[in-house]
Amino acid sequence: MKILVLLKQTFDTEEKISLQNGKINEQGVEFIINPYDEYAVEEAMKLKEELGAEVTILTVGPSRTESALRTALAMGADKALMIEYNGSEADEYVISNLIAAAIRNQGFDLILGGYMAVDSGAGQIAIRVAEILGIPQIAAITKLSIVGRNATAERDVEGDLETIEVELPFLATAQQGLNEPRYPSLPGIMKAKKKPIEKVLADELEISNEERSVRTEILDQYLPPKKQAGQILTGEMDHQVSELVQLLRTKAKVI
Amino acid sequence: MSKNVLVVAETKNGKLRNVSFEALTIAQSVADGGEVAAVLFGSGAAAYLEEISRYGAARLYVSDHEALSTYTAEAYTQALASLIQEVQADIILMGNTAIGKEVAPRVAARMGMGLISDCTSVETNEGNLVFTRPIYAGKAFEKKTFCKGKEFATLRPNNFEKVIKPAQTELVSFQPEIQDLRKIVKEIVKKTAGGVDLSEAKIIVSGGRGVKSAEGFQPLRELAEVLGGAVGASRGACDAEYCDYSLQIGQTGKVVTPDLYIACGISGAIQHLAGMSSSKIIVAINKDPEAPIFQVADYGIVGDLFEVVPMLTKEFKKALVTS
Amino acid sequence: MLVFINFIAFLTVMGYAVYLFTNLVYSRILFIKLGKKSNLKEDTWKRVQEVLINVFGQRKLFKDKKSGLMHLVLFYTFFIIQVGLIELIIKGFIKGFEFPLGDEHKYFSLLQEWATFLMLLAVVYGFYRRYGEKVKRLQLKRDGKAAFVYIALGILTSSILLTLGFEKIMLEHEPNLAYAPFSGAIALLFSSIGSTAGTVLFYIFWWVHMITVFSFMVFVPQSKQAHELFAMFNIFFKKSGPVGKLRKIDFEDEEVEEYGVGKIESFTQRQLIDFYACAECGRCTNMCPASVTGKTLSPMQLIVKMRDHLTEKGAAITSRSPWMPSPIIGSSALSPGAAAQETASTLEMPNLIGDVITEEELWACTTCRNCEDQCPVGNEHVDKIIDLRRYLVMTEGSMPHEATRYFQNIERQSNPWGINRKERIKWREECDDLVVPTVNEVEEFDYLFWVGSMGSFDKRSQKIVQSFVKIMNAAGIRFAVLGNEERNSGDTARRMGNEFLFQQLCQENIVNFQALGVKKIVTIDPHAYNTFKHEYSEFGLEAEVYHHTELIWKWIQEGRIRPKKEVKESIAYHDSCYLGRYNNIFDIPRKILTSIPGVKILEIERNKEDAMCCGAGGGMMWIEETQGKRINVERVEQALQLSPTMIGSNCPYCLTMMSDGTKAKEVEEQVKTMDIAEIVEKSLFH
Ligand code: SF4
Ligand code: SF4
Repeated sequence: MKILVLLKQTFDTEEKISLQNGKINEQGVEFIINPYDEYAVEEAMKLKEELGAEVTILTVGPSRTESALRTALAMGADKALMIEYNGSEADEYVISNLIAAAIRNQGFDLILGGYMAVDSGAGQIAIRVAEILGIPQIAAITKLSIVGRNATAERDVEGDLETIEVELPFLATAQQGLNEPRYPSLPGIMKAKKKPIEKVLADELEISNEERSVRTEILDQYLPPKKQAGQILTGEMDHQVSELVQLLRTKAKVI
Repeated sequence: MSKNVLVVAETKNGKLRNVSFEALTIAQSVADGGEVAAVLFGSGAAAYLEEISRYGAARLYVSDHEALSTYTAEAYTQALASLIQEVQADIILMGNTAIGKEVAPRVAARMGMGLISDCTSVETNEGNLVFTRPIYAGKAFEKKTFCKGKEFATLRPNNFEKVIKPAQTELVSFQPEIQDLRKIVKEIVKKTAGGVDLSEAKIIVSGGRGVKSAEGFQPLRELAEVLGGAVGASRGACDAEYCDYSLQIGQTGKVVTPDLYIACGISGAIQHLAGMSSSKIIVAINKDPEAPIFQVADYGIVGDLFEVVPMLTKEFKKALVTS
Repeated sequence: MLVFINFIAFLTVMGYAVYLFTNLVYSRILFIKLGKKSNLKEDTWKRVQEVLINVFGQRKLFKDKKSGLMHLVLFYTFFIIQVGLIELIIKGFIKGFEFPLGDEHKYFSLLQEWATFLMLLAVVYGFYRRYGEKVKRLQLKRDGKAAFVYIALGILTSSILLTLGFEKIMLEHEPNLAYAPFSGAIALLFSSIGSTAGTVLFYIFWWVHMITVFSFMVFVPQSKQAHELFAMFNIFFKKSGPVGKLRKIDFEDEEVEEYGVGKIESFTQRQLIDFYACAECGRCTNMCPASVTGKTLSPMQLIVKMRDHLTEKGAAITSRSPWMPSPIIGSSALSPGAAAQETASTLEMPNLIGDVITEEELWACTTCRNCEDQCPVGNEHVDKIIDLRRYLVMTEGSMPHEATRYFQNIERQSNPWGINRKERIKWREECDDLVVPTVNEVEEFDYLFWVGSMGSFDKRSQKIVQSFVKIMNAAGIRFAVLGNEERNSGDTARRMGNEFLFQQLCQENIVNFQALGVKKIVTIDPHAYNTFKHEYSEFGLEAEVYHHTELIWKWIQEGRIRPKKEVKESIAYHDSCYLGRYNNIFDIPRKILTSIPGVKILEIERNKEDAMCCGAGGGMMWIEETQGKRINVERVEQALQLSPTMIGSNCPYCLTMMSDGTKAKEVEEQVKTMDIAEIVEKSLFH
């Protein structure tokens, strides 16, 4: 079986976000594998152990992303493909075209990715890739089992549990709860240093100019007003309770 | 310049979703004289005509195609793509729901379109639509716009105003061509509130030592049920055997990042905070005003949880019915 | 003629026994040699001293006074009787032989008589301890071997007295009750049977004795009695240097494919001697906090299981039989390992981790060293457990997911919770009226105050830090903190088996310290203290390291601070493992407490060297404790027996554990939990 994992390097989820020239500042930031993508890598490793598979990791990004690839290789992936792209203007449309161009006709039986990236939060790339390649996708899986060419997956649908059957090849995106990603072993890290990382420049990939031209652009990035200090409600208890419900619905908008 | 807007409406549990009305309202404001149409997939969609009409859609597209009777991303994608062609929509809006998250990117890819997902506000700037969306889990925001092709966005539910604007809505039936479906949905298990998995839950009601007993969790469970959330616990509560260790949130338990975390009778030791401090909104209910949990809480109520929680449940019940 | 036959028979039996014995011992030495070579530092004199104290002084044994006395008697009478044995052997061939000591022989005889009798008493007492009184630790392992020891030694000693008694009848000597009180009494008792019957009985008991001696000799290497042979060497070869200091792994060595120990031969030879040195006395397990609270981990079983595994595997590798004579021992219930041994060559060996020792056991150890401190033969359990963890973590990458989370958080944000590292200094915001400069904010400082992750991020531990800062301010100490530059000491990572991460942190910290010209470091965390003080030097740190209690006491003595306000508390004082057993600091905290007016120190039953761990060490703070009772609750219960008004401690982890424990017992209102620094601060200012 040939498995491809789509991976993005993101900020550590605990990082503070700051701006520099109207853009998110990357200086002095700790980078990690996007946590949802890490579940995807782990799932690929489990399938590899269980069924035998060759696992390739693919990423699109600047040269710093190589460290994320090395980590995934240390977890046990076999090889990696890095589409080097240094700009920031490419949108999901272009990036998914690049990925599709790089992997088309390579005969992957299964493509795994994260359910979304914790930085952009868009959750588009993997699903777009599935569509471009013309394969089915299952988003936000929490369980996956493969027997022969048949797969059964469970996915989280806003709290409900959906069970889906599909034949290979297909694409799935990983939701939290799918597995517990492993900690790379030292021999794993050593071996990863010697594993091949193929690099292609985004400009070298064969896609049309049309497919290269972005559909959307970022006008501005900004920080939200400073989170207010916690608010301890006061007054009569029933008043406090209704105020809280009000705040949660209209101000915090979480219900 | 007038634009045709297509809103992809959605139902859940037999009711139109709130976000569909929000999308229709936005559609009105961005159409700029163009036509606002809605589409609703699934069998029996026509029944929602009246409700759709209250939010000003000129047309409601429905289809009795067999492949659309229950949701699959592939069938919906094909149907929506062909409809977009058919009605020559300039702007497409849908909710950033489980369905929207799957269908929108697929349709966008299929038609070579851009997509701006999970928008929390839409405004017009010199004739262009500008979409605002949270990034880095809400720690920052970005404004995006389209520079080419149709404009396609998914909206974060419950973030927009909805304005009633009754209109004459024409019911239009269409027959998309749908082929090659390779995925079967075998079953859908509706989880009851208590069954919502902790790590995926959007809302968590969590109890600490302050719940005092296993029965003490009951009011928390009721609140969680009303909110469609899950119940969690601090290590203290698990240690005291008020609940199972599988519910433990914290350094040695689960790490959760729900939209809303309601901590009841939890003091807020760092071991616990490590598991939940990235929650979007934290509400603390605790008798002790000095409890460290109040330092991370967005909203706090100093009081007895056995008094406050049932009141909250009642209040939410009221509020959620009227919406 | 008869004498000649007797002599030949004796030589045959002895020859066979000696052959078996050497063979058995040699096999075991070969098994030990399967291990990696360990380099001994040349401090022979210190090693000899250790042997003198622990072998000839039997020091550790006296932690249990009754058993200690019993063992002391056995140990010394054993040597005395050996000398007598030579005479006794010759008596079998030369009638009435005595060492040519002339008139002085009677003293020799007296010594032998009493030695034999005392040994018999000790054996009977030991038997009673195990089977009558049923001392708990002696019930940990039940097999025929222990009973065999008592029976054999019982026969051994009584047959000496009987042989000597009947010798007197055979020789028609008048028994001298003054110098041969016991054999003399026997001779008196049986004096009526006549010299012929006496002769027969003499030879019968002589042979009984000889056969028992040789059987026992063959038995020794095949049982826990092997400690008689190996314990001394174990103590001699024991790791020198600070206790509990872990072995450095050389990561530069590209050849290495296994980090830590995944198979028994990967232990060092020195570590393998431990196994045969174990006397199965159960002292370690008796004190182990994990065992005491019902976890599967038992340090004695750990050693014993690995010993049996080594014997089994060693036998397979070297093709030597570890059990002799195999028809008797090999098939008897005496040796559980025997059956496995036969199949060893055909069947696959069990895995060291997983089959012999489970991961569950490995992740239950708090590295408290209570086991090692107890062990009379100087066994080191902790370094073995950590070697096994090292294998799991570094070679296999397999560990409880809490451990993964811990390591990743340390790697990314240098603290266990993964909180943003730029918030480390935030604790200072709560100290408006205090002087807490960072290293960048002052020109010079005397002490670098290592706040630690707990002190920096944990709300409760921040209070300890504040108290200590107040004390330093009051004492006029020039100190500085690293602020957001502070990382993690790496101690916990090291104890959890992640040597790689530890060395990374250690090297970074040292570079940092050196760049700042740090000469003295003080910390409130005994774990950081221990690793800085004893383990960092191997990586190049040259600095004096202090625990805050050490300095507080110094400043009190110097009169820089004077605790004068009364603090009316009865304080049950809990010794942390890393300040206590690891660093032998027991008195200083007590002296500090005594110097505070109003304080009454209560000693928990298990205190000082015997103090039970709070449950947080060895990374257990970060791993869920699901099996058995919680260690911290057990420890708090021990403290509560004294009805204290407060539990005092010297470590932020202990404090967390103690306060969680009082909450679990729902006494947190009545029994406060505080660090010594906080108590001192109360006495200075409040
Ligand atoms: S170090 Fe402590 S916990 Fe570990 S085995 Fe020894 S006594 Fe038990
Ligand atoms: S390891 Fe030491 S303390 Fe433990 S049983 Fe063996 S000899 Fe006794």
